Amino acid sequence: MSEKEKESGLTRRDFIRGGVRGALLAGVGAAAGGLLARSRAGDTVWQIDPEKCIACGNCATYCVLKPSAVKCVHAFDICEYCEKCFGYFDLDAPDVETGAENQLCPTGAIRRRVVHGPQYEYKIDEQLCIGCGKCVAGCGQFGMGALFLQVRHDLCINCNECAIAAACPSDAFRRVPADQPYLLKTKQ
Amino acid sequence: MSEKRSISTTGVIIAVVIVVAIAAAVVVILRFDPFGEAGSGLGKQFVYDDKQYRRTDPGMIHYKELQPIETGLKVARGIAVRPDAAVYVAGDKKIVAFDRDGKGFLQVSLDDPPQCLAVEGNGTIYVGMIDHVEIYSQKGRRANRRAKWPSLGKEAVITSIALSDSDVFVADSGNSVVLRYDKAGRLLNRIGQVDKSRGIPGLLVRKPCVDVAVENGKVLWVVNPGRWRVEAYSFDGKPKRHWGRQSQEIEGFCGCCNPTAIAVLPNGWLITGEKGLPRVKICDETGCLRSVVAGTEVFAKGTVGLDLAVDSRGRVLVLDPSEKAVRVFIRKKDGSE
Repeated sequence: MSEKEKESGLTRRDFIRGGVRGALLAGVGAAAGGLLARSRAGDTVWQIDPEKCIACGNCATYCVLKPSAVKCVHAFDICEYCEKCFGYFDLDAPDVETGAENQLCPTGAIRRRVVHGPQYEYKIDEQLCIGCGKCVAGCGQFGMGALFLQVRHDLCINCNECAIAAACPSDAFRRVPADQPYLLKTKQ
Repeated sequence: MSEKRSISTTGVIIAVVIVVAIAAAVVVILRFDPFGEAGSGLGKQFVYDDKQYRRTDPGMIHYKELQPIETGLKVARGIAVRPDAAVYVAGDKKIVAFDRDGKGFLQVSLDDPPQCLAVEGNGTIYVGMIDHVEIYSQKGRRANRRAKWPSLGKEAVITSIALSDSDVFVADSGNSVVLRYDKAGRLLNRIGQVDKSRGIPGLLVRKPCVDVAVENGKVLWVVNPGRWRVEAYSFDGKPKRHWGRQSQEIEGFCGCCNPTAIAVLPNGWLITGEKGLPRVKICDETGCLRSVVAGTEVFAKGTVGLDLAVDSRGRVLVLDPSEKAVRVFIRKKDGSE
């Protein structure tokens, strides 16, 4: 023990021990703060307001995930089950045959099956959908707007700064409560 | 000497590295597009493109537009015209009327939003509410208890009314049928329902947009939007003829269900209005396209719910819900069919 240590009453060992304790406390505090901040961010998630979405295609390319966490969804409640659905058929399709050359979706992500009479059901294959919104534009122009884009929360990693939200030209992205993560269209 | 050469070689390498780094940084900065101004970058096959259908051959357009009539309504739904060219418009919770010069002369307040209307020569107004018909005098008064007809039921969505001398035709899109009444409100018969024995496939209605019009007091024209055609019936419901086909091209009816509006010219030719690619055109009695009144390019993108009327002066009146105005078109002097 040096003279100085004797005078102050603090040994080098005590100093190091205290420092380690302080660092541990600071680490625990930082971890707790981080967890708290994360839990607060987790209270809300990103979602697309279908009334504002203009199906520009940015969702397909600006998401940090490849393919995008944005997918087309189908509100069966408002769908009219059209024989010639313009979310499914290309504008130039000469007839209502389901050949690839007649389909609007470039990835073939929409399935069509007859329900009865001239009514057909359309389902999205999310494994194939890249969220380009081409079908959304077609359905919105000619049909009921039953096809629309949503952020799928089984895929989305909920970035603090969503790259698609920043690039959205119609300001359609917003944060919504995590316990109500979808903005769905319903029959009015 | 060799040390000097070594230094200069190192300097050159460093300079090259710095230049390359700056060039790379410039490229990254220029390509970085956090606000999406450069667009999605998706290939052509991923982009919905209807531009080619938004242009009309100028040679087909035989009408020119005059000064529109501003309705002052927030939601404009239906239009009708009187023989003296007075224009009536239904919307919000009222009926507004304008004389032949576009000056307002009547306003009728309603309890609920109207869907459509028809006007007799004497000014009596038949208003289609969502599930029933109301009748108002030329001064806008609902005169007696007969002036509110019974409800057509929960499913009813009345979208059009047409008049003959003694009949009132009410298009109920919700129930896919046209009802024929006498002027006192007694139901006479139903028109357009499935009847295989008479060769009637039935009205296929996806959006509530069945429109009706009477030709020369003898023939009822009915829009069958899900089958992309118009159908003519005698007043007792016997089918007479039909025409129309699905096509994005100007000769056909576009989209999943069209047309959404019709009006009849004095010579029996039909004026049709469409949604999706909003456009107004004239076809003869066989369905052959004769003229375009207004092409898609004159309407705002997303315009739906056009309604049509023709006045005694031959003006085509188009109720444009996007503009909340009655757009007036007259035939060009050099326009030939």
